[in-house]
Amino acid sequence: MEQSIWFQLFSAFFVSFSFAILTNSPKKTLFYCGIIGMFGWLVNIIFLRLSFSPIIGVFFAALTVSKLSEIFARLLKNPVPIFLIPGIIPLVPGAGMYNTMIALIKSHFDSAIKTGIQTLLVAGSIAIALMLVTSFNWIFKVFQKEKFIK
Amino acid sequence: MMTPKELIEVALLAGEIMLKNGAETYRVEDTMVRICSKGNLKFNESFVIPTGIVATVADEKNNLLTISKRIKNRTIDLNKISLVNQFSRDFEKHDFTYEKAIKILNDIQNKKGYSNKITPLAAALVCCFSTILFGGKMLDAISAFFVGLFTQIVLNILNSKNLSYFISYIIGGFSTATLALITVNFHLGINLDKIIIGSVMIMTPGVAITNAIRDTIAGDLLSGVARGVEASLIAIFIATGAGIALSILK
Repeated sequence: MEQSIWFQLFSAFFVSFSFAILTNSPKKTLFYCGIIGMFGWLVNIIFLRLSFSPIIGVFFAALTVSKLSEIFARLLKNPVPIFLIPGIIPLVPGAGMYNTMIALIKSHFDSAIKTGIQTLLVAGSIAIALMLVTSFNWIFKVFQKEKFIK
Repeated sequence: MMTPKELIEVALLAGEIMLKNGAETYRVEDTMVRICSKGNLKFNESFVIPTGIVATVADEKNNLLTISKRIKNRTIDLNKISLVNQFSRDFEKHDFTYEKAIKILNDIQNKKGYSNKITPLAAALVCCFSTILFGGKMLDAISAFFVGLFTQIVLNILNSKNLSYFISYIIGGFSTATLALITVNFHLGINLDKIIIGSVMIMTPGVAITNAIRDTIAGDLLSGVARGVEASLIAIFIATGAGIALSILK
């Protein structure tokens, strides 16, 4: 990691911001998408600096992104995916997929399996983080509704 | 008060717009049920999968009415999902006439997204900054900017031709790798891998992946699996395209 943290955060902000334009998000949500992407990357960097494995870092970053998306969705009255999809983009294991492909082209099958499984684990940890936050949120919603009815 | 037939037509149009533009299936079902619950119906149910919608309503005299719709081509436009979501909330609160509801939905359907001039620029920014995130140098970021710009222009042209999506992803991956090789050959970029990794980000199936996860938690296993397969196929197609370019040209 050669760039300063501030430069990386700035980049993460613009990755999410511009990806939100590609998915046609409403204009007033673009800035918040960028903010979510930035915080996700911040968490990822912190865990990497503390020398945790990339899987753990991405897991906690995805938790942050997911929770922030739920919060902003409530505040700005927009569906959650509008914030979630651009916010998760900086965490996608693009490098892993590329390295797997290159290993396959060079027929280094053992290293292809190694990098492939690592990529799958990173992707799986993102999925599990999203599942955790979303299902907890739905449980809370159910409880709130029951209180309201009573 | 709308008749059951008018109500189900409004619900179907709303559902169609949402599903065509990349909403999760449980959200489409919720919206359709919410719209139909406005009328005096005995029964209303909707069944949505990523490629089609089936909805049934029954009035007080138990006259059943079923309507189905096949969704052929899907794009991504989150703005329209947000607008239809807002519409369904308004529809629940206020009394709309049939004509007014259909007019609002048609306006949403015909809404243009960001113009074809802005999207390549946004794609270029995504590529440029993700190259930096993956540890590229300044020169790599600059060449990724141009690679992203041209790839998105190619993708925009392919999308306007309504080609099968797997062809456009293979061509997208191919052009990304080719352009990256060209920039490296002209000594504009240094690390070929960093440029390609950054530039492929504009094609990542983010919508398919998140929808697959959210659908699975909501219990729509069929849609979850379908979307998961879609996402992994897209990833494989991009890799195939880039792999063809790298093994031929390198």
